[in-house]
Amino acid sequence: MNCLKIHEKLIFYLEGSLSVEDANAISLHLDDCKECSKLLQHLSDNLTYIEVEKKIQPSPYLYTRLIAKLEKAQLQELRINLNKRILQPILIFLIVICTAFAGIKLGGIYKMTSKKEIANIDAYYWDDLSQEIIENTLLNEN
Amino acid sequence: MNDKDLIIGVLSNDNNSFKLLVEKYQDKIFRTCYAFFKNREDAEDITQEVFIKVYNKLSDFRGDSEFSTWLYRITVNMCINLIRKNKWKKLMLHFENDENRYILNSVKNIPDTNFIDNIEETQKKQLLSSSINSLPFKQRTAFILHKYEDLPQNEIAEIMKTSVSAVESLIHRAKINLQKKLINLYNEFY
Repeated sequence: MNCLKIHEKLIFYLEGSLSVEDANAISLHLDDCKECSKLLQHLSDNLTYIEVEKKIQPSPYLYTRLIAKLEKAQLQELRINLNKRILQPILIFLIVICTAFAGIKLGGIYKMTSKKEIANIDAYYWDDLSQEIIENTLLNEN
Repeated sequence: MNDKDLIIGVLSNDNNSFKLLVEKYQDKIFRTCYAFFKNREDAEDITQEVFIKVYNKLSDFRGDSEFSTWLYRITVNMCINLIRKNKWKKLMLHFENDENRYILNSVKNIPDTNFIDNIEETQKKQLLSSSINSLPFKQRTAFILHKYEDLPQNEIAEIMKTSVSAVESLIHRAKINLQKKLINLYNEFY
C-alpha cells in the first residue's frame, strides 16, 4: 500500500473498524514510514480531543437562568396579550371616533343650501332684465 | 421518575417535574450544542432555548417516539437554524481558519516550555472545531450524534428522520472528510 492509500484509511485504522488484512498492511507500512506515523499521531491527538470536549459540563446555574428566562418570556407574552385584548380595541375605537368627527366637520364646510335659497339663486340668473342696465334705463324713460 | 411521568407532571404545571426533566437531559443537550458551536456561552444559551421550547410545546409531543429522540431533534434543528441565520458565524469560521494558521505557526516557533501544553490544547480544539464545522450539515449532525452522544445509528436515523443506511453513509463520509481536512492542515504546516 502506498502512503496516499494509507492516508484514506487512517481514521478507520484508529477506530479499529478495518478488516484484519487492511489493519495488518497499515501496521506494516507504519513501521517503516515515519511520515505516516507522524500523521497518524496527529490524527489521533486531534480526534481524541473529542473525548475531552465530551466531559465539558454546563454551568450549575443553568436551571436558575432558564427559569428566569422562562418567566421573562411569559411576562412578555402577558404584555402582548394585554396590548391585543385591551389597548388595541381602545385604539381602534378612538381612531373610528376621530375619523367620524373629522368627517362630520369636513361635511359641515360644504353645507347644502335650502330650497328657497336655491329658487332665489335661480330666479336671479333667469332675471335677464335686471342684468341689462341700458334696457332698464330705456324702459324707465318710457 | 420516568419520562412519561415527568411529562404528565410538567403538563400539570408541576415545576418540580420540569426541574427533574431539565436535570436529566441538560448535560446531553449542552454537549450536543457545544459540539455544534464549540463555545460554552452559546451552548448554554441554546440549551436554555431548547428547554423553553420544550416547556411551551410539550403538549405537542404525541409519544410516537422516545422523548429523548424528540428532544434531540429540537436541539439539532435549533442549532442548524441558528448556524444558518448567523451569517457572521460563517465569517468567524473563515477567521477561525486563519487563526488556526496563526496558532500553528506560533507553535512551530515557540521553544519547548511548559505553557506549550495550553497552546497545543487550544490548537487541537480549533483544528477539530474547524474540521467539524467544514462538514455539510447532515454529515456534521450524524457525526456529532455518533461521536459526542454515542447514540446508536437507529436512534440517529429517527432523530434525523432518515434511514439507518443513510446515517451509516453520512457518518462514513463525515469521517473521510474530517480526516481529509485534518491531513490537509497537517501537510500545510508540518
